[in-house]
Order: sequence, then C-alpha cells, then structure tokens
Amino acid sequence: MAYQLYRNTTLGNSLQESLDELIQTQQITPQLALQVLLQFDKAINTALANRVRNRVNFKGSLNTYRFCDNVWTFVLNDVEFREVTDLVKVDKVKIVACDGKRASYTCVMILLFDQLLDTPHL
Amino acid sequence: MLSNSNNLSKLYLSVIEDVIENMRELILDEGLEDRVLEVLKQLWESKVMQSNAVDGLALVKNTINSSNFVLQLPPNYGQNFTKPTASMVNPAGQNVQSFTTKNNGGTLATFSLPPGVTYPVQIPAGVTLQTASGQLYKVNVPVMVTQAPAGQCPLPPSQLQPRQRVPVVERRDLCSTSLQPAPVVPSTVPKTMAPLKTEPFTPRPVACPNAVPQTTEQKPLIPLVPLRDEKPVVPQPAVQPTVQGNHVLQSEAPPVQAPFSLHTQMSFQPPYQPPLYKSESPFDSGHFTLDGIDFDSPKPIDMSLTSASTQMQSLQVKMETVLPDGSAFGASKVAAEETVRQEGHGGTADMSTHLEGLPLDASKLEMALLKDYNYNDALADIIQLDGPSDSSSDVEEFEEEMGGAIGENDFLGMMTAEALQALQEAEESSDDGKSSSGDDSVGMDEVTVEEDPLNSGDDVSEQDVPDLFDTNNVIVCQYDKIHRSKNRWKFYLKDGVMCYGGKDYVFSKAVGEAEW
Repeated sequence: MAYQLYRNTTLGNSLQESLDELIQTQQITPQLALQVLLQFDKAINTALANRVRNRVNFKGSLNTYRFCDNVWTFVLNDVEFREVTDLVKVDKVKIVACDGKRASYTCVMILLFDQLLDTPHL
Repeated sequence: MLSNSNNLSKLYLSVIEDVIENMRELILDEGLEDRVLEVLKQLWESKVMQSNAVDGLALVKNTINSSNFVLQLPPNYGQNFTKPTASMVNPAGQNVQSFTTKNNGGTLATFSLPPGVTYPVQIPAGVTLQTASGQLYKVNVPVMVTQAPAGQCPLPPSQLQPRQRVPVVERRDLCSTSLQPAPVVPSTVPKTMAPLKTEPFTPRPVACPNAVPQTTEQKPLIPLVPLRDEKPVVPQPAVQPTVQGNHVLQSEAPPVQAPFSLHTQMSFQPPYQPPLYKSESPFDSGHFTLDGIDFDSPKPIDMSLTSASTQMQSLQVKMETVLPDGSAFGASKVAAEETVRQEGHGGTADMSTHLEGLPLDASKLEMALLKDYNYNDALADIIQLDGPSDSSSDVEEFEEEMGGAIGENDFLGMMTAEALQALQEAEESSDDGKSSSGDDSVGMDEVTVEEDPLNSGDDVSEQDVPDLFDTNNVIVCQYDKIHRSKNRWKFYLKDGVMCYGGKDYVFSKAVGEAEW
C-alpha cells in the first residue's frame, strides 16, 4: 500500500479530473476509478523512489508547523529553492510530508482513518 | 532547467504508462473496452500539458533515427538550394546538428534529421538555421517538429499563404515554453511540424508513423493563435460533456436567480404597503371618535386616502430633509416604516389640537388628519417606542409652545401654504425645545455605533488560517527527519513533488532550514 500523498499534484489532480469526466459520462464506474488511483499511487511512489536522482536545498522562514497523524505540515515564507543549476524564490510554500521510514504502516493507518472519518487526508 | 524538465516529462510519461498498463487487465476484467483506457490516457496527458506545469513536455514517442521534415518558408524566402546543410541548436543538449536540406520548390526547404536525434525536436525561439550555402533562417517562435503519418502531401502554398508571413515577420509574445504553435507549417511525406500539444502521443515509437492520427494534418491549417486559444480546439470530445455540463449549470442559474430577485422585490414592497392598508382599516370600520368628535363617513374618505398616504410619504421625505437631526420623537435612521410610525405617532396629539384650531370647512384636511390619527394609533399599537421617541412629553411641550401649531412630524393629507409655514415655524421652535431629546437620541445612536466596532474587535480572526494554508505552492514529499533547535528547524526530506511558480519539480532528497 503506497501513500495517497501524491494525488494532490499536477499529475494526480489531472488524473482525478479525467476520471471524474469519465465517471460523469458513465464510461467507467467509481470503483474502477478508485482502482486507477491506487495504481497511480503505486506507480508514482515507485517512480519517485527509483527514477529520480536530484537534490534540492531550500531556506526560508517558518510560519506554521503542524504534526498530526505522523504527517508534518509546514508553511514557509520567503523561501529560496536552490538546485544545482538555478534558484527559485517563492513567497509562500506549503510542505506536506509523510513519514518516510515507516511508510507502509503509517499510510495504512491513515487510510483507515480516512475511511472511518470519510475525510481525505489532504 | 531544460534537462530537468525533460527528465520530469519523461518521468510523468512513464508514470502514465505504468498506470495505463497496469489498468489494462483490470479494465478487461471489468468487461470494458480498451478504448476507455486510451480516452483516459489522452485526457490525462492533455490536462497535464494544459497545466503548463512542465516546461517543454517533450513526449518522446518516436525513436526513428533518420527522418525528414519540411520547413515551409514564405515566398519571399523562396530560393533554390541544392542540398544545403543546415545546422541548428538542438535543445536536447546536442549543440550542433547537421541537417540536409532539399528544396522542392520555391517555398519549401527540406531538412533531415541526423541519426541520434529523435522526434519531436524542439526548436526554441531565436534559433537560426543555417544552410550550407549560407542562408539563414531565424525561428522567431518556438517550434516543435513532430512526426506525421506517412502519405501526407505538402500543403499547397495557397493554403499556407496566410501563415507564411507569420514565422519570420511577426514576433509573438508567447510564453517561453515550447508548447507553442509552430509558425511554419510543413507537411511532407513522413514529417510535419505541428503544435506539440495538439498531437496525441502513441506509446510505441516503432509503430508510430502510421499510427499518428490524421489530426496532425489539419494542424497546419490552424491559424497561429496564442496558446490559450487553442485549448478549446484540441480536447473537443472531452470538452463537450463539460460544456454541456456548463450549459446545464448556466441554465440552472437564472431560475435560481429569479426567485431571489422576486424575493428582493417582494421584500421591499411590504414596508410601503401597510400605511395604505392600515390607514384604510379604521375607515373601513366606519366609525371612530376623536376627542368626542364623531366621524362616520368612510366613502368620501376613501377617495382621498390613497392620495393622502402618498402625500404623507412625500411629506415625510420632505420633513426628513428639513429635519436632518431627527424629529422630536427621535426618528430613527433605519427604515422609512419606523420613521413613518414615529412621526405619525408624534402627530396624533398635534392633530387633535390642530383640529380644534382649524376651521371646519377644510373637511378633506380634517379627514386626512383623522386618518393620520388612526393610522398612527394603529401603528403605535404594533410598535413599542422607546424613551427618546416617546411623544407624550413632547406633545405637551408642543401644545404650550405652538398653541395649536402643526407638529413637525405631522403628516398632512393636503399641504397648503399655511400648513407649510406652520410646519416651518414648528420646526424652528421645536429645535430649541427638543434639542435635549434629540441629543439623547443621537447619543443613543452614537453609543450603539461605537459598540459595534468595539465588540467586533473581540473576534478572533479566523480568516487568516484558511488563507494561510490555501496556496498554490505545495510540496508533497516524505520526511526522513525533522529537527528543531529552539526556533531553528531543519528538514530532511525525500521523494518529493514540488509545484511552485506554476511549474513542477521533483527531488529525491531535499534539505532545508527555516527559522520560526
């Protein structure tokens, strides 16, 4: 079971929108859409773990921090993202980070909570 | 960041491929057609491209090594070349590529890609193509060279004339991504130059040449427009349902709005209705007494009633303008209804005195006054007037000072010149005597006004919290370690997808510092 964390990305959101359109036109069932999303979770987690090899540094000021259900949520202001090649400055950024060590256990618990409470974690 | 964008686009493509492939079996198990997967894939890719989150979404589909594409030039550039070679800067990282060009006519120049360069090829803006003979072709607009199905014929020059002027002469201020429509539209046997984002992508490059849909052929015919204009053109099948949905929504909107408008209209009517209705009711009863005087003739009164009420309202407006600081009865600023009631109430006793003083030949005036009396009385029964608007003491003072003059808040059915003068006199005299009560009413208003800002300051501003967390710049990742020392935080993150400035980035490791 992989983190559903990455569904709130450009890739994930565009997939969800596409699935919503297909559901509306009744080309697929909601259950099938859920299966697609689960496959997406696996694929993106695998891809990020295996196919990405770059490093980023950033520096800024911390506005808020939150740690709940083993998920850190930060809001930083005036952040500079520095990669090898370039530098990008952003006035506000939100970081949502799940536990990288106990991935499977934590995400299962989060999934269970989400299903119980019927609330998406993000 | 071109390399990163290329890597990112490859990553996204690979993810899409994996998901689609993994779903293929499940789709077949469900009994659905394979076509659904293709539709999903096209929708997904088009949305990702539309989001512009990935620069230079070079979806490398074709791996054919050698290929030709025709660069169609405007007529004024028609020169005969005999197999010149052109060099161009390949944004994929290879600095110099050699292209062989052929000229099939005055307006066509054919370039062939060397081996190792695969389609699509990005030609960013500002690149100069140089032929062996020294001819320079400058690309003003980023161009994407993609592969078209075999069998396409070059478009006749007549069809391309409107666009031939575009690539060289015009300079379009488009965004810097290469997702731009190609300025020059070649279409020759295997290759066409076409706007990248309008081209669907096939999974297997080997089978591509014949598999690319015919829509590429039509792309050259699309006039050059900014990126946003082309968006509705491409995903037409997908857009239609949503457009229909939008239409449905829009059709639903007016009916929703209509009741509101009606409601608002209706809400304004009642305040103005009661004066008419309520004033009529006492007369409908047919009999009432006023200081021992019996009036028992409703019929002629009805005629003057409506006019009286409207004139009352007009008089009220006049009096409000004349008495800006409020009447002796503490006319509130809120609603006309309240002022009508208050002023009417204040006028009752005045009318009684006035009636005694007026000659009885002004029957209409008396009837109007009586109506006013009853109207005010009826209203007074409904509304409780507070201290400042209590008219009992004021009436007494009026009687003493005026000696029967019309109170300032009287509503007269018939305004005569004498009544107006009396009104003005009453106003002047009332100002002296009623200053205290007026001040009290004003003071009450001031206190209430001051209290609201004071109370509102007690509220905790909760609006900052949702706004604070609602941002487009999001990083979704996993954390290895989060360290804090006093107010210094250190973040050790991994496997993240970032989106800021409208663009996407990924990282395998991220280290950050922040001070809280």
